[in-house]
Amino acid sequence: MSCEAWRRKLERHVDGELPQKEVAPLEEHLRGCAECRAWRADLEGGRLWLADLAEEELDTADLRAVRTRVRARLAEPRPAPPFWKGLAPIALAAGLITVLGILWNEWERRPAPTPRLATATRPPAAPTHASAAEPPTAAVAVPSARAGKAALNVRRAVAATPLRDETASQEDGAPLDAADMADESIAASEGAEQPTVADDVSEPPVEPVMASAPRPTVVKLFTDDPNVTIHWILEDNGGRS
Amino acid sequence: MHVDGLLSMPLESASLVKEPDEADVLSRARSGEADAFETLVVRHERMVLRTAWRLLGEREAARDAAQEVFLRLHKYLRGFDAERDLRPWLYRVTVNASRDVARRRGSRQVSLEELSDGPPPPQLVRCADAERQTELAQQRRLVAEALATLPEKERAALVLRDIEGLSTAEVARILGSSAATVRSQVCTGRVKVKRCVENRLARRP
Repeated sequence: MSCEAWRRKLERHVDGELPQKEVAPLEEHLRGCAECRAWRADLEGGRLWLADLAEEELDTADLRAVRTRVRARLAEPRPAPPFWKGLAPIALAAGLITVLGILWNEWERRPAPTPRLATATRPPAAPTHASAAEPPTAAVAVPSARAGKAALNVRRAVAATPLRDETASQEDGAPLDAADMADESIAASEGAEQPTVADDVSEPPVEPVMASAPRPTVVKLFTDDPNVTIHWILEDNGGRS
Repeated sequence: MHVDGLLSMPLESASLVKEPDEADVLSRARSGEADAFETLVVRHERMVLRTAWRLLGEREAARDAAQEVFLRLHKYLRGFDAERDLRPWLYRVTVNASRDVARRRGSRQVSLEELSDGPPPPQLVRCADAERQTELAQQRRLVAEALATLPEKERAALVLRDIEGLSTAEVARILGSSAATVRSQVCTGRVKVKRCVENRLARRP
């Protein structure tokens, strides 16, 4: 064992904290090590001198001064709280009411939720040219005015091509023509009353609209902004390039 | 709270007052009894003032720290568990208050080199018993000056361990460190103090 390790034990021994069974080996090391003996002398000498400081009497004037100061401080009248502290709860309540009023007003004026239109698909016999699995790219940034204009153009383009709405047909048996679909799409995109609410507005739904050959296919892309609807018009050229 | 009772009585009388049970006094002080709080002050003032004095090295600064300790005791008294021993808390607050006072006063720690370069201590008188007190006072002054050269944490550990006589585990709890750290600080401090005092005594004419 190194002297450093013996000194750690010695430090505990000087304070009487070393287990008794370790004392004898330590004493044996001390008998043969002058450096560790000097270390012990320093430790014990310092401890005794410091312990002697505890014997030094305190000046009673100091004790009396402390008592007097404490008594004086505790006898001091407590300063009245600033006037604004009494107003703090009132101000807090007023602020809370104001914030709630603003939130309520915003809630009442919130825009209509993004509508989901009835899905218009090609009649069962017709082949599908557009798929929802092919999401459009970067169509969200189209300004509203342009989008509105494009929607009107689409309305004109698809007005002559009758389409059927499968979901609508299943419910009431009446086919929905393309003009109705376009009207519905445009009206819905402008925040009209008839649409249903989309479940997930994070991804714009893709809606294929097919017409009979050489019917154009209109794909409507709805963005998060209810005022922005993007229309793709795909024309089947019969395989000609 | 009006404090008129024990705080205003002479020290000699206060020391003769029979001390009631600590938990009972603490409990009554918590409930707002001024006399009970005064009893707590009288009972612990020596311990607090002595510790602050050794930590700060100045009597006036120690008074400030002791005053601060008892004001904090009064402020936080209601949060105390009456069954708990008050002394560890008082020691901890004394250490903290002394540190605050030292910083507020801009106290500067004297280095060992400055102490060694200063004027040598006067020749100790080693003759008659009547002069033994002078010799002792001079020796204590040297030790106190050596103590003041130690780093703050080392000094706090040494004061609590060797002057206040607490165990290593108690000092560790009060200072929020491990027993091994405290033991190391205490032993290092003892050796520094011993060597500093011996060096100064060796320079005495």
